[in-house]
Order: sequence, then C-alpha cells, then structure tokens
Amino acid sequence: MAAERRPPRGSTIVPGLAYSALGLRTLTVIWLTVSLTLVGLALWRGHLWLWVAVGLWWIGTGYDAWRRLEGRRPRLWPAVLIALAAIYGVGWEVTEIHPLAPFERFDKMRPYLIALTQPDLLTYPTERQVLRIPVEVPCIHAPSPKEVRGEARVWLSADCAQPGDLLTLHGEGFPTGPSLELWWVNPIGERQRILQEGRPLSPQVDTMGRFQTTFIAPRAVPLGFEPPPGQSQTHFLELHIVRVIGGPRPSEALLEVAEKMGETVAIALLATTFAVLIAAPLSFLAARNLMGGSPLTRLIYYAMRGFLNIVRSVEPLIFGIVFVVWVGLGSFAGMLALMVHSIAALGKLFSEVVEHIDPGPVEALTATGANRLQVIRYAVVPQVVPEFVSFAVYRWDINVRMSTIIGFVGGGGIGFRLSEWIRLSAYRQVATAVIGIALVVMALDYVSAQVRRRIV
Amino acid sequence: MPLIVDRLTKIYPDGTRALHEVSFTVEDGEFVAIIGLSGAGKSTLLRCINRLIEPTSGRVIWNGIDITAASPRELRKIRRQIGMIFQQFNLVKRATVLTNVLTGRLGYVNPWLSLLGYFPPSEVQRAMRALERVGLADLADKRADELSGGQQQRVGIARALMQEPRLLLADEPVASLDPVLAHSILRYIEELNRKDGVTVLCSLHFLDLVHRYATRVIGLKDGIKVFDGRPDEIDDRRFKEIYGQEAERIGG
Amino acid sequence: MRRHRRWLQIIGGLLALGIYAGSWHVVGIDLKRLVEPQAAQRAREIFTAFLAPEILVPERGIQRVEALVRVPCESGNASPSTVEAGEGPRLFLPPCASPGTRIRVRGEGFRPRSELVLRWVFAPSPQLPLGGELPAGRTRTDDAGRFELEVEIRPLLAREGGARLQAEAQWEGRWRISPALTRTIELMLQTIFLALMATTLATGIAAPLSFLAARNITARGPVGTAVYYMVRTTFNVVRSIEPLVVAAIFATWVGFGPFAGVLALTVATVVNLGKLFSEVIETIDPGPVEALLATGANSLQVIRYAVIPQITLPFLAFIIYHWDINIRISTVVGFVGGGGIGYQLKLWIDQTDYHKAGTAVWAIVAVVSAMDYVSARLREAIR
Ligand SMILES: Nc1ncnc2c1ncn2[C@@H]1O[C@H](COP(=O)(O)OP(=O)(O)O)[C@@H](O)[C@H]1O
Ligand SMILES: [Mg+2]
Repeated sequence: MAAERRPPRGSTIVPGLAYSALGLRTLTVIWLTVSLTLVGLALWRGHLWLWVAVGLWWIGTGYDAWRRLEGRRPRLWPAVLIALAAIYGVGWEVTEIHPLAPFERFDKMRPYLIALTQPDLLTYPTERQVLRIPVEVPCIHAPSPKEVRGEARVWLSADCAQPGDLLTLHGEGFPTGPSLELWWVNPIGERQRILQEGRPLSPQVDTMGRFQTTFIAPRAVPLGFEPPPGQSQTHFLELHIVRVIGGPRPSEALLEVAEKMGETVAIALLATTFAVLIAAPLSFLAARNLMGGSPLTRLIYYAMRGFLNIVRSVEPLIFGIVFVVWVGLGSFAGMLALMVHSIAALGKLFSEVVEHIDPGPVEALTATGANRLQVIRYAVVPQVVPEFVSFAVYRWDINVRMSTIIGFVGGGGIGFRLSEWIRLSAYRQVATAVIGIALVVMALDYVSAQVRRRIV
Repeated sequence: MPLIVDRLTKIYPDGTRALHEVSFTVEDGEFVAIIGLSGAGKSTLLRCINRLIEPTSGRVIWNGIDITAASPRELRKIRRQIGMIFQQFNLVKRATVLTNVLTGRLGYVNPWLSLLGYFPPSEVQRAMRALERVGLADLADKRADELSGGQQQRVGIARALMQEPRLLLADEPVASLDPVLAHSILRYIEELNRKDGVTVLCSLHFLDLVHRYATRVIGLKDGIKVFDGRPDEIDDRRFKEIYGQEAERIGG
Repeated sequence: MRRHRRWLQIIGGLLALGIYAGSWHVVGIDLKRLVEPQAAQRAREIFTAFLAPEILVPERGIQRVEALVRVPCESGNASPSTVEAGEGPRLFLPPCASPGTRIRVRGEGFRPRSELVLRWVFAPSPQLPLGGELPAGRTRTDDAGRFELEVEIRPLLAREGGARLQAEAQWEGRWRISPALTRTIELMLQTIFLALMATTLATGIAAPLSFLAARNITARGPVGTAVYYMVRTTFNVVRSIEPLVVAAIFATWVGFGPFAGVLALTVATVVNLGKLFSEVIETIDPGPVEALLATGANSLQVIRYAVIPQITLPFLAFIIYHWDINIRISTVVGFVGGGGIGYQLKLWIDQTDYHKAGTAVWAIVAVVSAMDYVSARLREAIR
C-alpha cells in the first residue's frame, strides 16, 4: 500500500519536493526557510565556502529525503550541522568576533577591575606642601646632583635630564605621617603625575624620616614649544607632601552619583505613573472582547493594536534620541521616552488582561440594561485592577533599569554622567556609579517583589 | 539468599522518627506486602533497603552483602539487581517509552556510550521484549506522557524487568490507579514473583489486594513493626493494632 | 484602631505627594517645552520624515561642459566668432566678448529633455580669493539634446578678465534602492546576528552554571551551599547592571564594534538565562531521578536521562525568548559603540537626516515585531 504511493526517487533532487510529496509539511517549510536563508547569506557575503555549504545542505537533505523514501530511519543531523556551521560562520564574521581581543587588550580592562575594588567613595581633605626642584631638559652640560633644603632636605641625582632618563630622588628629615607625591611641571605649567608601571608613584618615608625613589623623567615637552637645538628649558620636579586634615568626606563622585540616582528613580517613577494612567484607558480600546461590537469599534481596535505594537518594538533609547531633539537634553526627554515606550508595553499587557476577564459579570450587567461604560466600570474594572497593579510594578522595575541608561543619549539621570566617565576613562568614578546603580536597582527590585507578593 | 533487615532505624533531619528498630528476614521467592497507615514508614523502609534514603542505623544484608556498608560503586552494582516500582511511576515524561525502558539498563551498559544516547542493539531488543511482556510493544515510540496511568505503570514494570532483578521493591504501585487497573498491574508483579522467582516487597493500601497476592504481611505503625505473618492471620484485633482503634474494616 | 489607620493613610498620602512633587521638580517636567514653536517645528520635521522613510531615491544624472570666455576681446586680434568645447556634449560659443553685450551659446549632444543650467565659474583672484560662481541662465534641452541661449556679459566679468562658462544638464533618472536602505538592511542583519551569537554563547555558559545555581543540585553540604549562594548573588548583582553599561565599558576593552556588543549581551544573557535555567532545574520532577538512581545508574547517567529530558524544552523556550530580547537590545547597543544599527541611527539623527533615520526605525519595527511573533509561535510550538 505505502509502496504504491511512494513518490518518485527523482524528487530527492529537490529535497523540499520530496518532503512535501511525503506529506511532511513542517519539514518542507523548514527546508525552504533554511535553503532561502543560506542562499541569501551566500549572496550577501559572497564567500565560496557558503556556496559549498548550500550545496552540502542540499545533498544532506536530499540524502535524508532519499532514506525516508526508502523507508529507512531519517538522518538529518549532517545537514543540520552544515546549516548551523554556515549560519554561525557568517555570524562570527559579521559580528567581528575576535576571541583573543579580550586577552590581548586585557590591560584596558584591568583598571576597571581594580577600580571596582576601590571605588571613589570618600575623600579626605588635605593640605599639601610643595618642594620644587628645577631640572634642565635636555642636558647641555654634564649633569651634577642637585640639593634642595627646607625643613627637610632632598637630593635629585641630576640637575638636567633627557626624557626617559632614570632619576633618583632621596630625602631626609621628612615627617612619617603624610604621603608623598611626585609631579612634573613643564615650562608652560602643565602638571603631570609621575607614574611607575602605570600607577602613580608615591614614595614611602621610613621610620628615620628618609626615603629614596627612582623614576623615569617623563616626556613633557609641549608640542610646538621645543627648545632650539643646543639650548635647554627649565622643567620642575615637584614633591608634594600631602597631609590629611580632618575625617573622611563623601567624594564628589559619590555625591554626584547619589544625586543622579535620585533623579534616575524620579524619572522611572513619573514615567511609570503617567504610562499607567494613559495605558489603562487605552487598553480598553485595544481589547478584542470590548471592541468587537460595530465595524467602527473594530477599526479602533485594530488601529490601537497596530499602534501599540509598532511603538512597543522601538526601544526607549531610540525614543530618547528623538525626544532629546524635540525638547532638549535632560531628564524631561528621558522621562518622555520611557513613558511612551511604557504606554505601548503596558497597553498591550493591560488589554490582554481585559481580554481574559470572566465574561459572566459583563453578560449579567449587560442583561440588566447597563450601558457600555457602566459595564466597564462595574464588571470589568474590578476584575482587572489587581493584575494591572502587578504589571505596573513589573514595568516600574524595568523602567528603573532603563532610566539608568536613558542618559546615554542625553536623557538625564545617572547614565549621562556615567557615559561621560567611561569616555574619560575615569575608572574609579565609573566603579562608584556602577556600584550605586547595582545597589539601588537591587533594593528597588526587592521592594517591588515584596509589593507584588502582597498583591497576588 | 535471604534479605535480612536488622534493627533498621531512620530519623529524618527534622527529627521525625520514621523507622524504629525494624527487623525481619525475607526468603527468596516470597511476596511480602507491607501495610500501614500513610506516614507509617512504608516508603521509608523500602527506600532504606536500596539506600535511596540513608538509614540512620541498622543493617540491610542481601545475598550476604551488607548494603548499608557498600561503597557508592558497590551500591550501584547492588541497585542494578534490585528493581523498583513507584506510586507516581517516575517516568521521564518527555522521553519516549522505549528510552524510559532502556534507562532500566543504565547500570549495565557502557556509561560513556550511554551518555551519548547509544544503547547496543541487543539492549534495544531486550527492551522491546520487556515491552511485549507488559503488552506495550506498539507504543514504544510514543512519549511517556501520552500514555494512561495504567500504561505508564506497565512501562515502569518493563523498566524494572530490564534490570533482570532478583528483588523487586514496589512502593504503592497501584495507589494512583483505579481498582480494575490495580489488579492487572499486580498480576504482572505476581507473574514476576511466581515465574521468575523474584522476591517482592510491596507496600499496599487495600487489604483485599493483600489477601489476594501476598504470601506474607508486615505491618508498620509509627515506624515500628507491629505485625509479621500470613495474610489470613489478620483478624479484627490485629487490624486495629495496625490501623488504629477507630479504623473499620471494609472488604477483604 | 480605626483612627490609627486613618492617620497612617494620611501620612502615606502626604509622603506619596511629597515624593511625586520632588520627582516632578527633579525631572523638570515642563509641558510647554513640547509645544514651543521651535520644538514643535523640530518634532513635526522628525515625525513627517519618519512617515516618509527613504527607501527609493532617483538616480541623479549630470553632464557638464565648460569653456573660457575672455572679456573684453583683445583688440586687433581677429578671433573666430565661435569655438567648440567638449566631446560628447559640446558647447559652441565665442571665445571672447565685450562687456554689456550678449553672446549666443549653443549646445549639442546633451541628454534630451533635461534641466540645463549655465553659470559663470570664476578662478580665484585678488578680488575673489576663493573663486566664485554666478548664474548665467537656465533652459531645457530639446528632444535632440540641443539648446540655445543668450547670455549677458556682466561688468563683473570684465573686472575679472573673463570666466569659464559652465553648462550643466541635470536629470532625475530611474528610482533605485537608496543607499540608506541597503546600509540599514546590512546593519539589521548584523543586529540579528549579534543577538544570535550572544544568545548562543550565553546558552553555552549559562547551562552548566545554572546547575550550580540550582538549590536542589548544589546546595548540599557547606561547600555546595557556599557555591550556590555565590553564583546566585553574582547573578543578581550583574543582572542589575544594564547591558548597555557593560557594552560601553567593553567597547573600551575589546574596541568599538559588534564584538563588544556580543560580549556585553552575552554577560547580560548569561545571568538572566542562568537564573531562569536554575529555576527550571529546581522545579523538575524528582521521581525519575529517584527511579534511575534505584536502577544503579551513576550521577552523570541520571543527569543525562532523568534531568536533561525534563529541562530541554523549557530551556529552549527561554533561549528563544532571550534571542528576541537580545535583538531589541542590539538595536540600541550601537549607541555606546557596540555595533548593530544603533550607531548609524544615532548618526543620522545627529546629522538631521531624518528620512534616513526613518528607514532605520521602520526596519527596527519590522524586524523586532517579526521576531516577537516568530518567537511567540516557536515557544507555543515546542510546548
Ligand atoms: N524527607 C522527609 N523529611 C522529614 N520527614 C519525612 C520525610 N519523608 C517522610 N517523612 C516522615 O516520615 C514518616 C514516614 O513517612 P513515609 O515513609 O513516607 O510513610 P508512608 O510511605 O508509610 O506513608 C512520616 O511521618 C513522614 O511525615
Ligand atoms: Mg508512602
């Protein structure tokens, strides 16, 4: 019986045909989709290996179809493997995956990781005393040691240097409490901290009040201000004696993060509140069961649905850029962006709630002769309120997260500052902001989980 | 090669004493019914025998081997010779019937190949024979959750058959089934007991089933063995001892 | 008792009022800013442009010929009355002219029926350091691609000693797919692949991790419990950081481009999937595990035959769902240098190329809605 209706073996030349002849509808659709995808990818990227993959996919599925025709067990996995390899191969290329980059460029990440363990939270008010030692750059005479006397005495190994020269500084008679910093000042007054292996150098004073340190004279000659050949310029090496006066204070970054987090939460709160107030009535217009009556209401229903779906698929950040152009930089734009997206997202969820209400009360009230608004007020609203609240809280969660980044496009809140700090490589400030975000988001998450548990 | 249960005690971490110094010996080929109110410790007893639950003290000796002292490796060797059937069937719902039956053989096959989903053809044939024996051969490729409760329990029996067990532990195998199905399931177990000489320890809820199938009855109450004898020895006094003063006998 | 509750309600109400008033102030809500003339104008511009995304653009054709005309004519030299310039399209005109007169300019071989513009092009000179242009007339070419026009010799020409007369024919050709659309399609594909790669990578990492975060598997003994809480906490902490923040940091790590986006989305997806996966594992039916242990299977076999069959489909559903979410995020991860369509979209808006931005926005709407639908259908199908 089955043998009589077996499709011709030739049909395996186009495996999709064989599948459809065998009555395997899903497989036929999948085969077509995958084939079109692979051919599309091959046309787009134009690689030979992709065309080879298309061929192999064809052969692989042909083989599978042939086995099925023969009544043997299907064997699709080779073809599936080939298709996956081709798709992921393209993905690898298109997304420019460079698996070694994270390791090769780890030095760019290290400061962030270090900063996370020492975020910029506290500052100590300080007082600094400065010792200046002139250094001629470059050397036009034989270098000789240089001594500077004050309360304490310091010696620099040379009074002139070439950028890259090794210099030694040692001192006597220093108090042990304060920390020391070394700065280099060039002839036009630009000051830079002297680094050692990428970290600021901070010599340690021993118990006898002495210290010794070696460092590399930095390249500090400003472009366009190079001395004429055979002459030198006077740079200064500054030794700062930094004394802490008074207790710890919150750092500027910490204050800023705290203030901006407040703003962030405010944005989320207002966006969610307004969105709920607007989405709740709109959702009734997007509920099939309430709008099924006349052609007009059905038209409104479809329009509403389409509108919500379109708006919902646009990320708040994209609205963010639009509103920034519209009303200018700031939290107002960010709030509007979050609100618009939330209206659409909540509108859809709310309308689904409305669609799944128990139709009994609606029927009963309609039977008493109540009009449509009365029916909504007394039969629908009481049923939907708890779920509306639950979704609103859920949205509030999302908006708190979103409002931390709406500032990336100029929408206010912590994001604006954070993106700036990232751009400036202000690692410790970034760490402060990230920790602040994590704490606030987790706390609010916890609160809203409690609220939702109370309601449900 | 008897099964010796010696002063078996189980105290759960929360302090519940589920078994208290339970001792008995089961000879080869016996069909022992274990009865008692729910919470009496029947499941705990059965699971302590193959150490799905770790007993607090006491020993279980089978075939001369101390199960309670076995290393994990030895324990797996012992377990593969002890079949087990569960009240909730404990099938992998989303896997096929055949796969479910094959899993009964995991203790015997090459562990690495089995991780790839490979079973030798001989094992697949064995599984098909087991399914034939419980009358489900034509459902081999169905997903387990598409089967009715009675059919699922027969898959459970087929899975136990795969182990070629010398001892079968059955924890209320028919409590989730209606009475007609209950008899059909117990008949498969009885056949195993009579034909293949498998020792059966089976906890049961209904006395009429006990009378119909068991050769011996052990009664538990609050984790203590209160009865050990032939089914026909259970008179009203014994019944009240096991089930409590307020219990009324129905049927059987 | 009742009085108490009343007071609580009043205090709560006042608190809420205070919070809202504070928020209103901090956010700087100012509805007037929405309708101020300038703002409204910008908004209208954006939204009308969005409604007319750039999909097809006409091909622009241009033909140009130019020739020098000296002013005035050098006296005495008998010069030809007309010279010819150009090949293909040709221009016929006198080589010199006197100020205040008119010259006849004729053209041949231009594209028929196209817009023709004549203009003077001045070379840089002391008076005109950057050179300059002066319109000289406009007309249309006839069916044979010819035109004829009289051009006035203005006094300025005399001052500069002449200038080049340029004839430019312009026409709009066939409509073709706009470069903005091809760019958008390419970037949308990149966006989809970005999400695909991130989701796949994340699945590979989250699946094993989720076992560590499952109470019923890991939280046994002190070491296990410690591991369980550590993994859980990590998930929760990382989950509170938006992927865009991570992407911004990763862009400085591995360099700007889609790879940074892939990594950032991977991190976000690992923690989200890890949490969901572990919840799936925590709710599996322990029955099969028990049954397989009773047959003497080892723990790997138990996982393979009792755990994995139970979790595969729920895992798959979550994976598809997250691919969907990741596509949404990858449309904006480009704002911080993470690849995908976002960067280009922001660029177009910053350049006030709103029609092109509209193309990108509609492409996003199409792809995201399609993915939303497909993922919902797939998740239904595998249930
Ligand atoms: N995992 C457990 N933890 C604590 N107590 C348990 C546990 N399992 C069972 N018990 C308790 O042990 C006693 C015996 O249970 P069980 O062996 O399941 O009885 P039966 O199978 O006869 O109904 C009951 O009181 C039950 O509440
Ligand atoms: Mg029980």
